[in-house]
Amino acid sequence: MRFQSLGILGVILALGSQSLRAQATSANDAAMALEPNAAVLERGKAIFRLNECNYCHGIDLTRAPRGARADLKHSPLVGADENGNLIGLAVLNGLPMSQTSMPRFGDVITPDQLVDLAAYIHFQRQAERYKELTALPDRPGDREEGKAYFNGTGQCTTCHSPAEIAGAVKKLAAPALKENTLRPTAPAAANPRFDEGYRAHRKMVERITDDEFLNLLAYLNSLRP
Amino acid sequence: MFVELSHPHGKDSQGTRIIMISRRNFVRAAVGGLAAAALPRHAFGMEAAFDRNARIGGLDFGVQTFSFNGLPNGDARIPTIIKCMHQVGITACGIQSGHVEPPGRTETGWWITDRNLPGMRESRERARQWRLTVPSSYYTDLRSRFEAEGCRIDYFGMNFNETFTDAEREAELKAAKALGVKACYASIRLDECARLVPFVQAHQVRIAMHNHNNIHDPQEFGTAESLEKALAMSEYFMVSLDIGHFTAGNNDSIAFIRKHHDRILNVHLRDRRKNNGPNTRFGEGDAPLAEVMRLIRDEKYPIDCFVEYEYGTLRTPVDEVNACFDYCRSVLT
Ligand code: HEC
Ligand code: HEC
Repeated sequence: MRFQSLGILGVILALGSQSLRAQATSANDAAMALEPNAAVLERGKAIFRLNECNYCHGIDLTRAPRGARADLKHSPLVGADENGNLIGLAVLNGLPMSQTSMPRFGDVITPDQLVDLAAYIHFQRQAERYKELTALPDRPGDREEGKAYFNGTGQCTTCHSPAEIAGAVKKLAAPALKENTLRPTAPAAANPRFDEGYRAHRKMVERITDDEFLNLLAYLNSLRP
Repeated sequence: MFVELSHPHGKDSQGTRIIMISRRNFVRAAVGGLAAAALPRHAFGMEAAFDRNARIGGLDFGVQTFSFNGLPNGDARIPTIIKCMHQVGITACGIQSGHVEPPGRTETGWWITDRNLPGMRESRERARQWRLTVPSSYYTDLRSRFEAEGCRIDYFGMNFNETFTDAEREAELKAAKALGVKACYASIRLDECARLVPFVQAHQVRIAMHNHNNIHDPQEFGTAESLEKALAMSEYFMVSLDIGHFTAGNNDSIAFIRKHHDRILNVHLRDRRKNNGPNTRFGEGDAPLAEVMRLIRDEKYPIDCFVEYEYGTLRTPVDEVNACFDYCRSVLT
């Protein structure tokens, strides 16, 4: 087993990783767990815990004990982050102005660790946001706003033409559309752009707000014949 | 309720030996704390726990219930806290209102950032109504529950803030009295201290200011100066000095304790690095933990030492709190 070389720490990490994998319930989730890879996530999770992030940002980001601004699950900064470039600003410098200052981790977290840490935070945020978005109550969204999101903020048109999307929508019932929009399933015929698209969708799950998602669904559903 | 204390194998998951101790013996030992000296050291096969209850190196120790993170909500919470205290073998605790009140921490606006949340006004009002209508027996019962298990609540953590009404400020001071604590401790701002002055005078309840390390906002307790301003406001204002945070704000704990020892009720023991650095295991950061404990011992200051464990780990809180106490013992003996 690959953890053996890590000794006790490896055992603890292996235990921890079960909960990460436990989130992978379908083949599609398994695909999701492929990137970033499990070893990176396990390292990231350990860094998160060993540096006490969980005290203020919640175990696995599931709660934010230090208030709304410490909510990494919804923070726009984390949503906009790429490989730790923005998360690192907060982590390495700390945030001394907050009521209970976030400590400065510049002396203890290395650049490599930061990348793993960010990967874990993103993965966890995607998993948590996915749950939240799919559980949203069926409030009607604004179709026009949704269209604007599709063509603008969401950058959906970089990969999908409106016609292609209309074709996909026709085949999918509303609940499936909701899920596939968040997590595309691999198409029957190999799509060379699948990995790239998959990553783009993961980012979307992290960045889209509840309202934007409901609006987007209203727009997509309006494309049904 | 029966609290399971002894692990069947006498080992925890990491293979460390855990103290075998039956509940009855524990209570006997804890209640009879003063008689400790007269009893043979191994009377209950629980030397470690026993020492902690009595005193370590002549100091009075306790634990902040904050240390036991990940506590369950609802009815299971208090028994879990007590169980953790038993597992650590410590009698006294400082308990935060969030561990005592049914309304969650967020609802009471514990952190500044919570107070602007949507829906906050309504949930804050619900929390307020709970506080204004809860009978004092709620708190006396709570006290009894701890005592029945050989434990004690010495300090009650209440973060007074601008969302409190005066009626609520009074209600919380009365709650502190019903709990029978030595004092409240509070992560609080100077402007709120000013509002509290008439109430602490009227109810004669002490509030010990708990510092963090925001040294940029003079209203926050991050420096000696800000704490001194509060001390000047009322003789009922005291200090609960967090050594770790004080160090992270590059303040001198030893100098502060020497100067204000008669106004410091307890120190919160925690280690951190300077320059707003992170928490560390005891002894690995820049906080003068050993020096502080020895100073209190040598000068015989009546200052309690409360462990507040909050550093990153992959082990359980009970394991880490145990490690903290082991450190304290090692530098005092
Ligand atoms: C002592 C509490 C504390 C600890 C420990 C802590 N943080 Fe924070 N962090 C906060 C608070 C509070 C904020 C929000 C600050 C504000 O803007 O008021 C924050 C903000 C952040 C932000 C910026 C969010 C935004 O939207 O601006 C990131 C990213 C972050 N923390 C990551 C981490 C990571 C990763 C760790 C562990 C290495 C960590 N924090 C440890 C308290 C903490
Ligand atoms: C980087 C490329 C890329 C971007 C950007 C992108 N997608 Fe996709 N999308 C894909 C790929 C690849 C698939 C996989 C299925 C396929 O090949 O048709 C897919 C699948 C989907 C599906 C499911 C189709 C089906 O048949 O199940 C929907 C709906 C969808 N995307 C909507 C969106 C929306 C809405 C946006 C913008 C918020 C968006 N996509 C952004 C590449 C992309």
